Amino acid sequence: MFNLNLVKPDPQAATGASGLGHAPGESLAATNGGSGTASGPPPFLVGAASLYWGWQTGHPVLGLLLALILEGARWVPVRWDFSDEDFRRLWTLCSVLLLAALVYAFTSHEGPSAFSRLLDSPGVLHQRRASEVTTETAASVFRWLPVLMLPFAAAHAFSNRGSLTLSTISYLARRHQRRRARAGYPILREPEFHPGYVYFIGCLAGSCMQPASGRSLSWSLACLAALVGWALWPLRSPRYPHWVWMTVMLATAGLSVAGQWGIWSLQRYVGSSSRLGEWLATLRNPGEESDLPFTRISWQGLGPWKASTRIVARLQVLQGPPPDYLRQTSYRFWMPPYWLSGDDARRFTPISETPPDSGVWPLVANATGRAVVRIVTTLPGRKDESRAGLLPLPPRTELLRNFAAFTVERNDLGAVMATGPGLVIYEAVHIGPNAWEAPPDPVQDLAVPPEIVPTLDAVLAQAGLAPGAAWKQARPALARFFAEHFRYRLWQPMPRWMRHNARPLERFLLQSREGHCEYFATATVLLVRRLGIPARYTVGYAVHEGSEDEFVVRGRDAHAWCQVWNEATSQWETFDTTPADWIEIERAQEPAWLWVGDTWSWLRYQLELVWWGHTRLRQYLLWGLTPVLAVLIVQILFRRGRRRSLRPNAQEVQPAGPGQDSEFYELERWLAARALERRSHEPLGAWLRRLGADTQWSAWIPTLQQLLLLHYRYRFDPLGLAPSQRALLREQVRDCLQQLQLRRFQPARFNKP
Amino acid sequence: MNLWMHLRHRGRGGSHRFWRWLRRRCTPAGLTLLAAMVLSGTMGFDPDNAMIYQVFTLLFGMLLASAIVAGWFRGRFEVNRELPRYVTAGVPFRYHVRVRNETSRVQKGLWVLEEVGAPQMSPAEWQAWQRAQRRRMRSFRPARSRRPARALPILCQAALPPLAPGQSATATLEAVIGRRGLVEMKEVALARTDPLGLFRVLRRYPVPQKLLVLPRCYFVPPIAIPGDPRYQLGGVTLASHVGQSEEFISLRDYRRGDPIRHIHWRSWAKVGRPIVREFEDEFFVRHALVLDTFTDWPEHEAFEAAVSVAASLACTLPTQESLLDLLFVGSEAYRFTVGRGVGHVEQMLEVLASVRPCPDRPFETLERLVLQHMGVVSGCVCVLLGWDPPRRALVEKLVQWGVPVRVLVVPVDPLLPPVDPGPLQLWPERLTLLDPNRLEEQLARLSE
Repeated sequence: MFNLNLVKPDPQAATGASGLGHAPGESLAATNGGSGTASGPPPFLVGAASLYWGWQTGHPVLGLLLALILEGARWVPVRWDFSDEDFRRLWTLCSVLLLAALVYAFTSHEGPSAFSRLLDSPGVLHQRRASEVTTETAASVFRWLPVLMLPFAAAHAFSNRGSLTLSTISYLARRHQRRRARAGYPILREPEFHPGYVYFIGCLAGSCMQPASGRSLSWSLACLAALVGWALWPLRSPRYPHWVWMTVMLATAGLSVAGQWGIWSLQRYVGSSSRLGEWLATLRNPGEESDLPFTRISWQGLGPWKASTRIVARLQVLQGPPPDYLRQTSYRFWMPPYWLSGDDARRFTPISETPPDSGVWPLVANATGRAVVRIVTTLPGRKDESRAGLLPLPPRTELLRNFAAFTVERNDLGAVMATGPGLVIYEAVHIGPNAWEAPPDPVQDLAVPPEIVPTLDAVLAQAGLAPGAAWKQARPALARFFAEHFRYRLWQPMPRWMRHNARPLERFLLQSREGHCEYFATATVLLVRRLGIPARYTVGYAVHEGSEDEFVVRGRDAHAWCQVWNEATSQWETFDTTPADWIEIERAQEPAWLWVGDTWSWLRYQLELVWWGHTRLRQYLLWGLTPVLAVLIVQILFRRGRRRSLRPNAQEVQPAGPGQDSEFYELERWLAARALERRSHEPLGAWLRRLGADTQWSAWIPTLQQLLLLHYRYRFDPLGLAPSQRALLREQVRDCLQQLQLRRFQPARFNKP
Repeated sequence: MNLWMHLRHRGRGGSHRFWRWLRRRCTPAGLTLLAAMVLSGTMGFDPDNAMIYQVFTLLFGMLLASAIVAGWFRGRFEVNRELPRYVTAGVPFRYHVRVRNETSRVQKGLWVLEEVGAPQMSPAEWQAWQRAQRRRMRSFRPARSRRPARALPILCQAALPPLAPGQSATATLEAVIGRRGLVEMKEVALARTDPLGLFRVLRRYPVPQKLLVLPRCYFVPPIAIPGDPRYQLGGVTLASHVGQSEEFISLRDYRRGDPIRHIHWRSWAKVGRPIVREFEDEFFVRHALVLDTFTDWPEHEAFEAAVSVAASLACTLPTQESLLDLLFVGSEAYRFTVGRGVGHVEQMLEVLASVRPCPDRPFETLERLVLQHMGVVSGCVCVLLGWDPPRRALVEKLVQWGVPVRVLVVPVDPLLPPVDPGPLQLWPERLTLLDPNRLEEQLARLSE
């Protein structure tokens, strides 16, 4: 196996061949165009596919370069002598590059376009750009398929091979063939493929991985159809005239347009507001958190199996006291069993990032705040091709910083919606003096359904409050009232008729006096409103679990409470009447193996950090991958297979017949490539004698005849060759080949055995 | 044998048949486009990526248009197949198919397709195979259950030149068959593609023919079996055929015990006392090739290897000046002789092509057959399927007879090393253990 020294077959060989009487054009054809048996793609198809790829991915110059390299083989009269092993190495190289790119893109998970952007310093702040981008980016690697396959395709274009068989490039196929040959099974002719077609498919696949953006979709599709048709043209059936083929292609175009329209209307139906469409849409967007327009109270409460211990958010207190609550959104209208948020909920005001690209999102004009807490949470929903969700924030949050979101918006009810990557990390500056929620609306925030008014009056009488009492008095009175007379109960199963027809809230207030946080919050809101004080029903999470600085919020910590408007301070205040032991009651239900789930959750959290790019892993990976790749490339291209040099005496896999792996055959092939081939009826000895007669290599013939003797013994002697003689044969043939390739017409001295 | 086993044997692999159908009906370009369509369809339900949708619809439209326009194949053709007489397992062979155009229009772009598969096991054999495997599988030990290698039959295809009405042309197809036996070739299909060249439409023509596939012969270096020429009763002519011979060299007086039919009546009439014809005493070498067929596992690779070894030896052992007897037990005991013009080696290979294992008789049948003929045999080569006591007993008896023996063992059940030469203790080089997976090189290295 000779080295991959890329020796150009110099013009002397061509003239040498022409000296034997072949026309120069003929010999050129023999070395240039490969075999007449295999049919490659039609001329210029590969170049056109490269240009199309360049156009589609937005790198026209690169596409042009690829086209020139691959089609230039048509005019450049230089060919390399690649063997099967060389192609194998190149294929391995291409696979390794693809794998490395996949690993890198996997950790980045960012938008597409340039590889150059991946090489930038990947801090959190540099990582995003906006909307047309999809966050599934493994596909972005396949966009670069043509570039990754370039070494292989170029090597084939500049070699004189036609089609390749699968065992040329696949280790598994080779091993399968070897096993079959050893076991004596028939050697079937393997299916062949032409690398030009493989590259063509790679170009098309790479150019289709774009989300179609900006440029006209129909032109792209028309070009794609034209390229596919061009590739299919040589394969057409000779039975039909050309116009039939054109008609079928046009029919194809018509069918695909019809199909597109069909898929488009199907998509519209799926996204529409019909029931089926909505159900299908929920399959796509599984969101567990509260929907914005309304939330539903469950009269039964949370069954023990529903208390989810999944970690929803992780907090780290950086400054100031830890927050007691994380608020998500508020609701206004009570329509049992729903709390609705009204029209204001849909009106979101966008917040601009000031200064731009800094990750600072002020919610009020001059933001100050005493306390800072860092929150890590996930965005479960989807909006505009990126992830979106309501952020859980401490009350009186004024500023968000270090937040790599795409957009942030807020509404008047206190909800902040952000779009960004799936896992977000942000710091909330809270306990500020300014508030940004809108002041209460005199009608909407005081609305009480009339049927519940008598109950409310009765309760207020019991609490010792008259309608119109001031908030300063009402607050302690209500708090005491709830603390003394009410109990927390998480789960109260009730039959359906009771849920729908009886009045659970009245029962709660007057009779049973036990319930969960939703009961307490609803009742409190209505009571406060009856007193004439604006109040809202708020949902969010309670923060209680954790050590001094770090807290963890689970699904079961989802909480509802009341927000009351305090005229004196002109701010919304939290008023939670749920008995304080609700935390212990819920904690008592947790299973003993909670730590298992928590460990698993922590592992997933670390993975998600890497996945969404919040670590410096990508940078380390880049610095680590480059030398590894370089070493691999060097080894693949320039070194021989390591297996051979490690154990030269080990018993290698024996080929099917004795002596068929003799290196003398390489000599024969080398000479045959120079138009000095042995005729099929000629034995090797007679061939050498013929060569000695009249070619320029006649000085070599005595040496070659000596080697022939060794070869004959290796091949036909039943006792074979001793290992030393076998090694001698191998080395001498290699030396011979090297010298022949350097065009020495006289052999150098060999050391005699 | 119940219906369930029968169906399982016949309909084995619904996916097998699906791939075969797909391969028949789609050209390579069509298969590529189909695969691309499936890939783009699976990746395309990411509605953020509108381009893949388009590619999917484009490919789907192309394939649908192709399939519709392909239509169906009309026309009358006359199809004949010319097979070679013999074919060797594992060696590619060519055969011709003649097609005559009996329509009134010029036919272009036609292809001849045929699926050539290896001989199939009968359902009874398949059951025996499973039984044998089960018997050898031990519970609580994870053993790899072997399945008989069932590759897809090869699809041979060749293009026909354009045929004018009434013209005929010949297409040459190349195929290779892996196992010995009798292959039934049922039908030849004529196909044409649709205008885009993606799908084929077929029309099948039944041309039933049988093809005998001889066992594979490997190269064996000439092993000289030591042995002297033995006296062959009846001379060379009796070796050629059974029956009375007319040749004699001399006359002599009748001795008590001579057969009556050797009396030369004319001389008796002349001389007045019984005269018998005397035949030439012939001494030549006669080898015996003993093939062991006693295994319960049909189509096991060791058995096929043993048959191949026997075939290779039959091709190697000299038959110009000596005779070769093949002795084996099938449904009954067989002895087949070639050499010296008696028979041709091809005939022996034909016999070997149809050898089936014999599960129901005891090994003693072979022993009896062999020992019957040991009187006239100069040397013996035994190809055995194991090295258990009955087989050793046979070899020991041969050794005691003084017949030089060479034993080649291709074990069905693996033998534990070290292998005890037993009766061949004095000549351990005459016992060779062969491995079916490395048969070719081991046979090539067989030495004296």
